[in-house]
Amino acid sequence: MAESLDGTPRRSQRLRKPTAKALENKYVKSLARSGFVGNISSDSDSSSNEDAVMEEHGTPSVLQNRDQVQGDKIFQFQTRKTKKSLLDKVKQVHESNQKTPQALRNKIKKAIEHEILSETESDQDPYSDSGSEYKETEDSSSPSDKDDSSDSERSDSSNDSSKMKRKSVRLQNTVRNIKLGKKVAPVAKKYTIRTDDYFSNQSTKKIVTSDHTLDKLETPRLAQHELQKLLKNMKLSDVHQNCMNNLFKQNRSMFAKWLYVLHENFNILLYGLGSKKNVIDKFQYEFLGDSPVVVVNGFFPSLSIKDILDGIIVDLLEVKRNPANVYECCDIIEQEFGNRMNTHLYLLVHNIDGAMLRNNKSQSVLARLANVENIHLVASIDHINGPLIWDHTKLSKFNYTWWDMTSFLPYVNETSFESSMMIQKSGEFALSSLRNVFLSLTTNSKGIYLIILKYQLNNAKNQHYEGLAFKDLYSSCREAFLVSSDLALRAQLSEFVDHKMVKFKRSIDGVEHLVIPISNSLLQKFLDEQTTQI
Amino acid sequence: MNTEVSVSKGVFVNKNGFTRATKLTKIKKKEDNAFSNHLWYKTFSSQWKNIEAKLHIINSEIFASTLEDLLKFLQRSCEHKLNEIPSAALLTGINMPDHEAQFSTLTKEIKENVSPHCVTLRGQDYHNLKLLIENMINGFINDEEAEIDVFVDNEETSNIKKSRCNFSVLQAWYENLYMNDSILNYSATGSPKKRKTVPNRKVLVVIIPDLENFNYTVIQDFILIAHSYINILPFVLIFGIATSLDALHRALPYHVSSKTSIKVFRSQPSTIYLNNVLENVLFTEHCPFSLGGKVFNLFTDIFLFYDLSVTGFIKNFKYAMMEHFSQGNISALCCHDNAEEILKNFTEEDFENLRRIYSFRDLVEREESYKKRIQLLTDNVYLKICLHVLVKDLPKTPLGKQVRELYATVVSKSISKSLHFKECFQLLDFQSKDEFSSKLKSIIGIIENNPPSNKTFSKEQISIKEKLLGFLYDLESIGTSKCVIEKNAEEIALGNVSNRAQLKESVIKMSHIQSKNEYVKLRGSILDYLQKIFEEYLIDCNSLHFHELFFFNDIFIQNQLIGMHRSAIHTALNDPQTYFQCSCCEIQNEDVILPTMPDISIAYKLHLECGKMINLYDWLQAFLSILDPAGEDDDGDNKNRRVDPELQARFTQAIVELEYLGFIKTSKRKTDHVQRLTWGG
Repeated sequence: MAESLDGTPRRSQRLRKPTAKALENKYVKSLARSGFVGNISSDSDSSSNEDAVMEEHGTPSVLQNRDQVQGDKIFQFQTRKTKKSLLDKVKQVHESNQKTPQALRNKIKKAIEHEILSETESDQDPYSDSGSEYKETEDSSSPSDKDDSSDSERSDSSNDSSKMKRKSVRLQNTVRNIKLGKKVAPVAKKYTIRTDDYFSNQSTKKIVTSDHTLDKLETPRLAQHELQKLLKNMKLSDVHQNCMNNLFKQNRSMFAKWLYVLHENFNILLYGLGSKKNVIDKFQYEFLGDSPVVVVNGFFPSLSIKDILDGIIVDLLEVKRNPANVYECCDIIEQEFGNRMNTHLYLLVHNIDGAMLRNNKSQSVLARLANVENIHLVASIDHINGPLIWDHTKLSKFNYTWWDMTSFLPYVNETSFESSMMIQKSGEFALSSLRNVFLSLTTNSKGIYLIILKYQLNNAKNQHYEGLAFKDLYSSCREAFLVSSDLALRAQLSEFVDHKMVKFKRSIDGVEHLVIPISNSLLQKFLDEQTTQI
Repeated sequence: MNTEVSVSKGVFVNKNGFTRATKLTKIKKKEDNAFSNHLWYKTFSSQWKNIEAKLHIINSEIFASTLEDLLKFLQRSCEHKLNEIPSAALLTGINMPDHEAQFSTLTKEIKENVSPHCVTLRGQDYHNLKLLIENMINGFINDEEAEIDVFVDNEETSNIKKSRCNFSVLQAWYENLYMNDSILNYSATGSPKKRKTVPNRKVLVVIIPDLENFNYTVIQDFILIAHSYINILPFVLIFGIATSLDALHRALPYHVSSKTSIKVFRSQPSTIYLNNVLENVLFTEHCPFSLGGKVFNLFTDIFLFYDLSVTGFIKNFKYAMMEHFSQGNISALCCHDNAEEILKNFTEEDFENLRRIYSFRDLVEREESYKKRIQLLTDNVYLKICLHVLVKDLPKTPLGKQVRELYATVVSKSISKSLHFKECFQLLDFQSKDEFSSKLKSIIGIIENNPPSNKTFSKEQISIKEKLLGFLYDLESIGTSKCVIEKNAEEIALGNVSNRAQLKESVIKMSHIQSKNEYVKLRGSILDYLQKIFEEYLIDCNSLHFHELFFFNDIFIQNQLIGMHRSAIHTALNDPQTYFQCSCCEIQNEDVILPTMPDISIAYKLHLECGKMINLYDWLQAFLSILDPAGEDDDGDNKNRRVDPELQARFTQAIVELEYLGFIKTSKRKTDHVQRLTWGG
């Protein structure tokens, strides 16, 4: 309570301690799991029940072996998400940076040491905690634990020089032992979604954010080309550049193993933060130079699954028959590759979770292709909910092995097609093409187009706007002496349709409607231009 | 290196010298791949092939009973005419990936034993009736042409175009096959004659492996149409149902289901399947590669809590095996018949690696002990099964009900020293004679069924067997009448005690063992003997030399098999230092933001502080003041704030990437706001 009274937000420094009851429960569970003790009786709940559950495999023993009590946040003081939260955070950052560096470094060092200790000993010592307040006593009470921890494989983030030395020796050993290059994986901290947070997040109905808008800035939004120019000039710090090179090198060391895995009928899925395009490109360049490769950019906005199939059937296999049905295409491909077991096709899909491949059909086609014995799939995935696109059956067909390829490279290519609020939406392309086509029209057809346009703009507020009915258009065109017959109007309109300036839509009652498939704001701009010219 | 990005194309084909052979030569054999020269790869592939073959046998055995029932049903259904379509509903269980194997065996069996006409229709491929019927009839007509009409070899002439397939074509084709008065029964050379000798009509079997996936109206219409042809075309339907019978009721309303007569078949639950596979293939001595306790537990967890799929389990097993063998040539020793041969082929380096193995330690003579190791590892398999027989139906099952649970304990620690083990033997001490002797019998049976693979051990095994047989004989010869006499004798003995200590001793004795009859004594000695044997052979695998060669216990395999996609992104954003290993981004706990971190990480951490909606302006300001604290001071009231364009660009890119990763999305509820799509943090 004293902490909350003195006013400084020290949320980050406070250690997360589970309650005594939770600790006891955890202790009992971990003991039972490790099998050291057969019966542990807790004072409230009977041990026999718990044992029975454990033995029946009521809970997965390895999968959810988290050495952390779930929902421990419930026992803490919750900070409310307020308008000021961002401000507080920033303040906190500055405060923490102003502290004496030596003390800070010591603290960090200790914390990391402690974390290693608690991680390695977590099987045996359930009382070890990730906080730092009780560290001193714990360290002194269990010197043996500390000794043991140096033996562990995971001690890779310590400053201790002796440890580093030992680690490097071990690293050499592993490198020599393992022919195919085994990645010295960074310690993966298990991440579990805390369901309680959902309710605390959703409980506040009112959105409390400030009313500032980006227009307060001198340059509210950057244009796409400007952004790319600026980012190109940007340089990372040398340390991080080195780190990223190291990561890339580490990732590259797995290539030979990938080939081995692929040839045993497993497919490869790359995940982790950062663009994985480079890694896949490098893999292709180094290892797949002389075998047929199909590269798919999943992030490409107008990609369709048929494009991929066409690529294989028409461009690669040169089969004459190319049916429209995708499943029949799959049949053909399966048959063709079944007949030539010697050829290996490598299918490299950047972003298999890309917007156009997210639908069920595409994924089931890809799964079927990946299931073919001599088609090998290397794919990458980025969206946090990406794996949800696969169900049971598809996953078993894909037969993935998952590889953490965190690279921290910017998603330059992948995001170049995305539109964001922070980027100026120019719509220049659409507008200029509209302008060009419009210039080549006769005055009569210009008039017709403006009628449709104005009608659409007048009905901009109408949510259920269906378009201008053909009959209405005809009558208003006749009134303006633009056309004389129904047929002439249709001839004029067909030109618009060809240039995709207008779309025909048939409503439920069978009436033809005309819609311009361009956003209203652009149309307004266009109309303004036209009226000023005239 | 060409980076293939284009604004007009999403698919790029690199043929790299691939040309379509003008002449279609079927190459069914797989060529050797790049690794086939390595010693370890040879061992791996030979062992995997071995396992695969065994799995195949198990696979066909496991469905045998259900298959038999189904085939009987099919044969019966074709005998007499019916008013309804005979159908079978096969409750397969939710382990969808396994069904593939099941249905392919079923198809094979049907084609061999019941009818050559069998078509499998998968739900996800057919969204309308036309497609379904075309495909089905195409499957019937064009598939069987090759099988029945051996004479018609030319594909092009007999093929009926898929788009022309309809029921009347099917009817004509069927009448042509089985009824001589058909209009299509043109006088082909020889073939009609042959058909006259086949009077009984064969049924048309349609297998629908996944009823739940089917469009309900499509399947309903299909059944109605098929029913109208039931007198001409004898259809039989087989539905595979993954969930429960309820799905069938939902899919087929009364007016449809009344057209079918459905018989329900159940296939075995996949846990039994898995146990079977484990006990008969993976745990046997033919498979020297074994999983360590942790990895084994991981695999069973994946099985029990993720997919219940045995194929998945086997794939995981294969991957573990691949990983194990890829460690290099030393793992090639993981086999039991030609170890010496492999040792001869070893290079200096391989021996060096072998010496580096942790458990090598103080071992001097390599080969002798190595042989011993193999014995111990491979021969304790059935002892485990023996122990399992003993303990499986004990109350509370301290060592687990299934062999696989027992296996997990045995490989992870020394079982004979564990408390559970002692508890088991205590419990065994309370068992009645009948139960106990039946257990002994089954143990003897197991020993007999497992002939030892090498000679040194067989002597021991025989001696164990003989001893057990002797025990069994003794056990059966004991009469229960004796116990009464014994009891009396002890009571008398109680009378003539001389001092208190003696009295106390005998009372304790009595209370402990109320009637120390001969059975109890014998049981005690048998248990002692068994315990001794188990203690001798079921030693802790980790204490043995070279156990790394046979046991795979690298839990990091988990990352490869179940993918920690989200947690990897989370870690990278929250604590980039885990990946960077740099000194500048060390943080004490995850809430700390350092200006040196990557932009996206800073933006992410800031966004964790917000609720459902985030104001972009505020976010940008917070971002700027972390990266550029000095620039914060000129934050006056002047209307348009100037921002360093480079910083703004970096922020913009970070936002775009976060959006791309799915953490935020643009929102129209308030200007310049984005919506958070995750919670917590």
